[in-house]
Amino acid sequence: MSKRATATFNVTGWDDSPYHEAENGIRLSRVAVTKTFGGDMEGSSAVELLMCQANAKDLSAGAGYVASELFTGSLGGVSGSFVLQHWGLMGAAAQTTSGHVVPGSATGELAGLTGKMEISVAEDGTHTLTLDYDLA
Amino acid sequence: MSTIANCTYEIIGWEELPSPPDAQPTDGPSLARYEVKKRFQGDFEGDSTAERLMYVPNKDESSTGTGHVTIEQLTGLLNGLSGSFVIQHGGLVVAQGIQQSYGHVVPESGTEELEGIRGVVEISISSAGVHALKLDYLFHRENDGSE
Repeated sequence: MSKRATATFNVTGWDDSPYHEAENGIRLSRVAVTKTFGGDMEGSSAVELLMCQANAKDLSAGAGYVASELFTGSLGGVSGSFVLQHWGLMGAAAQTTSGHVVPGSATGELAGLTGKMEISVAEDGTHTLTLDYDLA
Repeated sequence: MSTIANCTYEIIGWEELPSPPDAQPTDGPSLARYEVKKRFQGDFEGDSTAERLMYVPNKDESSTGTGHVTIEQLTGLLNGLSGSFVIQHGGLVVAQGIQQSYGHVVPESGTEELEGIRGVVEISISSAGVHALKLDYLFHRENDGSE
């Protein structure tokens, strides 16, 4: 049976390197991000993010990202590391995120972890990651 | 009402870039970064450049993890309309031989005649090794209120 973990996180580092900037405003960049987590996930992560901004001057105009995230710490009190791959779309119409634990990526006591995740942002700016997971 | 575009593509470039050091696991699968170039034929005619992050199983260990995420900019003709747009997609091998994939057009990334394009992307590889991209798209334009 799946368990649900709810964790909040803070972005502690954001290093953005654009690799394509078009005259029409489209901007593609690689971003190295670090985060710390609290709640059902205690620990930190290093994220490699690929980002597309439709208009570099107006983030609400439309944007998307894909990310590979290495989390190290504990999940529901069980320690180890694992990799999340997730994506998000932002635009006037809707915001969507979704992602998975990369099967086979978990180490330590978390070996065998599988799961599905999403990220939500509250009105006060709090970022929450929800992970539905199975630990074999 | 959305339109479906079907096209096939060939990979015309595959270059490994320096891998991101911070997100690199110390054991288990390793993270690699690639720049991939493709050439499309069919309902979309044109080229793309993609940046891909990929976890590949570590050969020395019993880990099986594999999954990728990609951001890709396409330039060409989509059913006769010219311009460029950006898609983001990814896939996981969830069990041996079973893949799960997902993909979307980045909102507001369309240019020229493709301005306002939105849609869902599906990438598949046939048993004969043919790579195909299916795009289910529509145009969202502020002026005419259509979705």
